[in-house]
Amino acid sequence: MLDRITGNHIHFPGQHKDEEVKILFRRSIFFLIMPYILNLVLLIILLVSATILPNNITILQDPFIGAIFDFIITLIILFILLTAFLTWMHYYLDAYIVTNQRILTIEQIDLFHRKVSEADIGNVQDIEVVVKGFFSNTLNFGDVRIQTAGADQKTLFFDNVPYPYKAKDIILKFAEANRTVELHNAYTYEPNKTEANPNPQDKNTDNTIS
Amino acid sequence: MSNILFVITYILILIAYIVGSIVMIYHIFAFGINNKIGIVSTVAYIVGSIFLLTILFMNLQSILNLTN
Repeated sequence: MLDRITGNHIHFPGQHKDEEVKILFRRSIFFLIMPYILNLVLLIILLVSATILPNNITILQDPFIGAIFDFIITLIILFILLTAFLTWMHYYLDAYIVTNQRILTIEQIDLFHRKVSEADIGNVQDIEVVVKGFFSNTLNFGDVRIQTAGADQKTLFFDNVPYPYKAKDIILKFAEANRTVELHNAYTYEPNKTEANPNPQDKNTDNTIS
Repeated sequence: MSNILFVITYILILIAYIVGSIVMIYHIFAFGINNKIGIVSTVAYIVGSIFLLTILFMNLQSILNLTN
């Protein structure tokens, strides 16, 4: 699946040393295809007009005006390419990551505006899935809202991810696994015997006032 | 005079385009997660850009020939 990538080979900026990426979500491919369709329509209109207009409009038959017309058409096509790459960059840089320690949402809002939110995966308390609208229901994508408990209570949003119900189940599974591991570590914790002092009275036997 | 204007316009477009492209490509490699996809798309973008900028340069040349 193109939108959901799994595997240990994935690395992201700011990753901890012993952190392992469990799953990576991106926005539904619909949000990449729609602007590309618009770009394609604009490109077809431009190419058709570049072919038809010089034969029908007398001003454009003048070599100098015709050359300027070709220059402007090429410039607009260059702009379309730039817009297409910018759209792709936005799609590519927005990512929702679930690791064995954290949940991260990375959003590239503008070219120089980046927002990263994170929460401890063990603190996941409630997950809400919102699938709203015709395209969301037919193409099976939606929003996943993850609420965390604890001192840093917050809500993380996975916007328009594909298969949101499956995403919810996966996040809950990893959260449960993380809690089980932490609980196991807490029960099997062995304090260092040199530091521990289970019965302080044994040490202070001679503390009587004479 | 008009020749210089056309050349300056082309150079300004070229500079703005190159600066914008460098910023975008920097973002992709600095913050991107799956770099293989990033490399493929960047190469495709660079090839497309060179092709279009060459056509634009040829258009500019034909404009300059007509004004001389």
